[in-house]
Amino acid sequence: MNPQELQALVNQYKAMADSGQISKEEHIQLLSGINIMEGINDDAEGLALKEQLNLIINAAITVASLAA
Amino acid sequence: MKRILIVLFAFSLSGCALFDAYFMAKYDTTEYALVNEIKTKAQVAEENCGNHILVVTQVNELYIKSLEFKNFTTHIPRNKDADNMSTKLLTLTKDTRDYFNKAEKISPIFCKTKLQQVVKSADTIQHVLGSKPR
Repeated sequence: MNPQELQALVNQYKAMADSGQISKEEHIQLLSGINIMEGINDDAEGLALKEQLNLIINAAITVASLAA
Repeated sequence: MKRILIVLFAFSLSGCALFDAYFMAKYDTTEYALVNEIKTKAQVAEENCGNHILVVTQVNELYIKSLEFKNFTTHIPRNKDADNMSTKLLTLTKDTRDYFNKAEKISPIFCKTKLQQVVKSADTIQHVLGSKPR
């Protein structure tokens, strides 16, 4: 989730709270959820990078073994 | 030439990054199935937001399944990223469960939005777990 998507969610929740569709406690609950989602996204990005690096290393090993 | 490029590439990264990436935990069917189950259960619960008793029951099940996912990932070697994500997903489902059990009245739009957070988070995790090396 990029900063724009996060901001869109914050705005969406604020609009829901302002229009009385959700209570104040529910609004707080949703905002705390965004915080956790952001953490999950950060970890997922880290793991995705590691997966790409793993792919590159394995490709390099294959190339090196073919060249040998 | 190829060998020189490989050596240059290898030296441009730190040893730890290379080690972590090369020896990272491989794709695990059970891990993937557990997060898939969490996502599906959250999607089903989202459809039942009109029925307070039913949705509370399903949110409780969602928490138990997340705990199972967290417990499963914890002791898999070189699986820190998945473990961190499962811990955060557990926190999200625990907060949801606690709130749904405590609140006397839950607005339908809050119920749907909260469960969508769980669905989206589980989907993010599922995507990266599914891309792990075989």
